[in-house]
Amino acid sequence: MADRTFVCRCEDVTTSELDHAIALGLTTIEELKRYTGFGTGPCQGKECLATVALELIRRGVITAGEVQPFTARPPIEPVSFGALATVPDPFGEPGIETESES
Amino acid sequence: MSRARPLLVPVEPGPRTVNIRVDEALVEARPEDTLATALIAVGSLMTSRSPKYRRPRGAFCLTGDCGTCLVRVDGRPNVRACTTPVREGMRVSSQNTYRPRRLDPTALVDSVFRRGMDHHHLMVHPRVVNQVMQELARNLTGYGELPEGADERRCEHLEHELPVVILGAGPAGRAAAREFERRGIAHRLIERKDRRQLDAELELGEVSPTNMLLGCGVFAVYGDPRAGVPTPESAARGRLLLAASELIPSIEASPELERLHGFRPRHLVLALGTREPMLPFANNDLPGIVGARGLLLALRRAKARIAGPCVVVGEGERAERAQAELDELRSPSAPKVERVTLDRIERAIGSTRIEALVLRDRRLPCALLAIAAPLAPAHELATAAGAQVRFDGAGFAVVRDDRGHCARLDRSDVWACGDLVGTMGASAAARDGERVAGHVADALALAEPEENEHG
Amino acid sequence: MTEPLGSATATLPAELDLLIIGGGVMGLSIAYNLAREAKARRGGPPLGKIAVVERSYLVSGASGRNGGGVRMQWGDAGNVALMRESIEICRGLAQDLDINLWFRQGGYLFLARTESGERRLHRNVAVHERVGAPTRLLAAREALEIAPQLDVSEVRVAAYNPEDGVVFPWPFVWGYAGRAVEAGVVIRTHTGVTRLEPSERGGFVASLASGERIWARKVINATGAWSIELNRALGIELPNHPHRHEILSSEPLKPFLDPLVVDLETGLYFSQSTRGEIVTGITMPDPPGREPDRDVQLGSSLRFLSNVSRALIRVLPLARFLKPLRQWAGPYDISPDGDAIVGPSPGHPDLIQVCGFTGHGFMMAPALGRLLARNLLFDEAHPMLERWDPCRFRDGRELRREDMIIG
Repeated sequence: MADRTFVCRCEDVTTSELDHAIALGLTTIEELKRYTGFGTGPCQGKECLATVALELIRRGVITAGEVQPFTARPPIEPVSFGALATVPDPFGEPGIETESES
Repeated sequence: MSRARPLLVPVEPGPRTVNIRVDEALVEARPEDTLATALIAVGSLMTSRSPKYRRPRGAFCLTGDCGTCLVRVDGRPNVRACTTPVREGMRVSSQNTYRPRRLDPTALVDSVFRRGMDHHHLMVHPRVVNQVMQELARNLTGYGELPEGADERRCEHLEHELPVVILGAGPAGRAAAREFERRGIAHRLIERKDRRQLDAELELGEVSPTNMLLGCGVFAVYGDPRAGVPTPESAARGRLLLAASELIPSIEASPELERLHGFRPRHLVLALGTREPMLPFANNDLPGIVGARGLLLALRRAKARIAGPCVVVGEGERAERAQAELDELRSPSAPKVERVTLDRIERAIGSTRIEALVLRDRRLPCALLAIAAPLAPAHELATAAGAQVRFDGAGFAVVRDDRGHCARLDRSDVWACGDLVGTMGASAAARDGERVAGHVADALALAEPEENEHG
Repeated sequence: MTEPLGSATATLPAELDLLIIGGGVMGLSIAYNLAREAKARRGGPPLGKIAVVERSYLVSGASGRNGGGVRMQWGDAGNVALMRESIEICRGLAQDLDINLWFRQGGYLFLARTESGERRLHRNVAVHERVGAPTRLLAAREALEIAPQLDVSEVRVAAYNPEDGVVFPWPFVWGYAGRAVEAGVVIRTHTGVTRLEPSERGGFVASLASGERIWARKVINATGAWSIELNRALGIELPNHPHRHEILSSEPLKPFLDPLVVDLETGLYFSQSTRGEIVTGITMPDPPGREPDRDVQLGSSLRFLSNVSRALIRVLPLARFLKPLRQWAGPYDISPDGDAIVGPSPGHPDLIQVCGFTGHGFMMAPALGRLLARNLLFDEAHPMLERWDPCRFRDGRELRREDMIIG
């Protein structure tokens, strides 16, 4: 097995991939997330975000005072489409055929 | 796999066993087990291959946060092994791997791309090669196969309006709930852990709060969909909306039930605590590398002891305590739990699970490597509710005022207490939870009468 | 070193031939195509100094928030032809941009469950046949052969085009940026334009959030749903407005779904990405009594989650066993007649509008970049440019209402 150090195990992002993205000029958590893919897998950043933030601070890419997390995307805990489908629309159901909708 | 040396053994021989099928093997588990502890016990640590380098992966956090213990359970894909209790006859399969595992040709990807894989620039030219690569990539990513033969789950929806909701039944949340109870304020404490797990975590002699909803994960906090809509109705409501999913296992003839809760509290008290972050060292992704706290909680729940070589990584009081506590939960036949600091680690080695830790000066046999890093606050729901966070050296800690107030979303107030605002330890967190609950009670007492309702 | 994805510190010349405001797929496709076209035609006018200024990071706006569908199944011949061109460009674009775009031609499958939906599909396919697009009508059971997991019991007829497909949107933006920088375009990120004023010597002076002031002979407003603010400050009144559109992706699954499926009745669409996630959204009417958004809103809602879940399970019943992975929102830039707003602004011919794409700009960007570059460099006409003319609203020349706007 090759030696690799991971910052995000869901999407297989290693420290060298993080370094590569930094070398391209990317400096913020949001853009590094998108370019490397860290934080976009099943954990949605719960395991990796703090680790990446710390790595960026260590590398002098960003300071501890300015680093902010990326926007947390729901759902943060598992929920099925089946259960979500039971929630009624507070304004009534959309679903009329929309000939001129936007 | 059943021939592998066990990694966990019961503290006391249990009265009965639960039989589950894991891939082709039969595994005997015990009623206290989650799927994750049942798999770790028999040394079957690998639950999937990773999407890009095709490396073996298994449970890490053991607390329902990370995404790598996803397995297929009874025809449902992508189920977290660490939060799923075992049930007689359960059919469990690993995902994103070809069997037999030792002959999985996709495992070669890791060696072929030894120097790393830039997926943005991998085999872009010529077009025909690019298309073949894309089709291959498409087949190697993705975890679960489609559901098949899964039992129908009953689903229902419940709405609650009440003055106070507390999230997280750790020391701070439990203390806050007891304080509301003492003051006679209607409240609900919501916790994603089940009863068995919570009982394993209560302090000796501690009375568990009464008004709890266990096994219920709050997955989002939204602004009220009616807020901003100019109707009289919105003026009456206009509170934040907590959305939660409660999974009630099937009992006898009644099917599994997933209940979708919507809570509209006047006050939301966040006591979500912290998570174990990963530490960076070579091959930190091997199955058997787990969070120290998750491992301790899992052992207590499963009433099990460590039966193989276990090493703690970390420094400071927390890592030392983790080492001592894990050592107490060690079977006499296993070697003493060792502890190393991150800077001494050269790399971890193993094939489908960790076998040893290569240090600067020696090689340390290791079947379970417990990461005890500074803990990172679980900030997501707080930031979604509008709270500010600051990096506290380990993670993003929630910023609050002297009373514990951290945000206001629509007509609801949001409060934070305990380790969520920065690691303070269990007893300080309990005192903090009680104190913040007192301020919430004061705010309720001061509020306009029509804003106060009792639910 | 020159950063291929732009940077917050890239040096901007004080005077520019063209300033493109907005580093989304539109602005960058235009920058890339200007460089490409200028190079391809020797003897043409020199490219001049071009800069792209982006307020945040690349892919921060709608270009980074869309579902990545690319289709030629539109309701009128002009859009069909435009999207055929876009799809043709997409086929070789990964190689042109030297980056993986994950363009997969799995087709688009439109399902009609009502009589009026059925009429729409019949009418569209007739248009497509006339212009030679490979779209065909399918019976419900034929739709099932293309996507075996669908419940087609309510489907009256389906329309399928095998050349439509899906992409991963982000690398388009990075790829265009990389090639543009290579050709000498300056990309400045994390820098907003705070003010744009006409200059006495012609052209415009742009004030940047960094304090810099830059003169440009021509300016392109490619800020999509954010374009209104800039326009209003110059007295340019255009009827486009932002609209929050929500979307989600599911937990990753092994490949099972080739086409992007659209349920005409609900406006539900879903496809499967290369990573295995089901990417899905739905038409969500505004709550009753709510005024159209004036500013960009990007919040997520439970209302969307529940509506999309219901609609998805109806067409793809096995989804009830699956879970969403994350939800987010992006801004549609709505044009009242469904046609984009592209060209010289009323009263300000040196300010080119590239907005009003009504949620479908991403798929049009490859073709738009090329035709607009040819127009700017060589004055080449294109039938869509006449139709997209920003002055049409002022002059009362609104042409038609495209009805294949989904989501």
